[in-house]
Amino acid sequence: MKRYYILFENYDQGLKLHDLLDRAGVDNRIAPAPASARGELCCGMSLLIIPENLERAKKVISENNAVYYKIAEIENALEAKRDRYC
Amino acid sequence: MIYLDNAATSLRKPDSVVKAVTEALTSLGNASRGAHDSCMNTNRVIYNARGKTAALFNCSKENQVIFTNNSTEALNIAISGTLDPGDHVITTELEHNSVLRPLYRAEKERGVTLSILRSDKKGCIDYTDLEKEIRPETKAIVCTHASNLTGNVIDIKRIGEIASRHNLLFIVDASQTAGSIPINMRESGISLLCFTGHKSMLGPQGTGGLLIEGDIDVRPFKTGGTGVQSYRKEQPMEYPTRLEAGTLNGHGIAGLSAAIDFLNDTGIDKIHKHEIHLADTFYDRIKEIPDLKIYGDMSDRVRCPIVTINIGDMDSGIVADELSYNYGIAVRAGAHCAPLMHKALGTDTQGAVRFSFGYFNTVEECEKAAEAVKEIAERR
Repeated sequence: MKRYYILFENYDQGLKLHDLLDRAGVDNRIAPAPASARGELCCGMSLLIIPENLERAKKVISENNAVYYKIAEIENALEAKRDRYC
Repeated sequence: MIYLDNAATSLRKPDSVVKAVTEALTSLGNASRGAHDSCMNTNRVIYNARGKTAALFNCSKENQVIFTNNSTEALNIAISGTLDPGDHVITTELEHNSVLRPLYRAEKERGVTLSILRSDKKGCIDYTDLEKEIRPETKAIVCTHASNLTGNVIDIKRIGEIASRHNLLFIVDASQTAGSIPINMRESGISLLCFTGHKSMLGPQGTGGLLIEGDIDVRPFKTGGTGVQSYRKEQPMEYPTRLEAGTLNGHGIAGLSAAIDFLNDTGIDKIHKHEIHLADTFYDRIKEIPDLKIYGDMSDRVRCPIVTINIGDMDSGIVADELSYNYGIAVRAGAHCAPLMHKALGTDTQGAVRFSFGYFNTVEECEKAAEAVKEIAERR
């Protein structure tokens, strides 16, 4: 199963989008930014999104001009036992 | 002890501030250094505090609220981060060294030139002088919102209008007024606002901030660990990270956030009204004492709750010691880090005794302080 990580340049950007997604009812969870996707400009937090919610998340980003660094697609290496959205 | 040195720092803090700091001390991780719960708790505390601070001062961008250790640090960031060689700056005689020393440094090291507006015997500036000082190379007006020595308040809206009309940066030192007198950055045309958390804001020491209104490029004052963009050689350029190298004072910011809640719940107008009532009570009881010198413009109703005096030619330090030793009253004496203001008032040798009142002081305390001043004046 694929996972999508929304990455940010700093934590303020991440928390702002986290609140916006929560308010819009789009499940998302704060997670450490995967090292493989971080690059030079990323901070340590990301928002984890399941594929079904990706388009809704993008819509929230667009409607609110939310700032983020990039969205990374990562193949899930673990069983989905840890999937707990907050 | 009767504590009347609130212009130096507010001694008593709201219970909610004490609780917030105490809880933070055992629950907060390091902001921006991970995504586990304790780290994110801190990020959340700081993020919420930015929003509250932006709202309190009507700053349009929450991410341009930069947390610092105090006003002095904020002023250093603002002044060193915006002035370039050849720039001209206008400031006033009312300033604290937290404004003057960074400006003198810019003058010496960057070739910045200064014009310092004179004040009259009451410590007031003439606003018409200000516009006359503007030159083609003028970059900024840097001034305090209120004198820490006299309590006189400067009309920042009037200065902001002049700054906006001439496209100048307007940098305001709100050390004495933030939390006690409403400040509206957008209405007053303030470009950069510098405040401290531990005075009228009623927060912990080691907190303060710089708020940046609009698209202003402030160079980083310090560089280092930010927890983000770790592989870049340069300081990240996004606000607030650009100006916040090193671990933030999360514990203090938790207290500052609770203090802002207290200010909002109580009402800044109510706080100011009470503080001014205390200052008036004290002033009314001492103003007729023979040979007493009172500094500042006491007729202006918009002022800080400060009454600064001297008793004849008595050394201000001796008066303060007498108040402390025999009456248990804590005040500030001597020089107040405002050298130009002292010179303008003629108190550079004698110093001055400053009584500064806070929200948690009582009328009874003011009456006792006034009685003590009377007795000292009579025993002299």
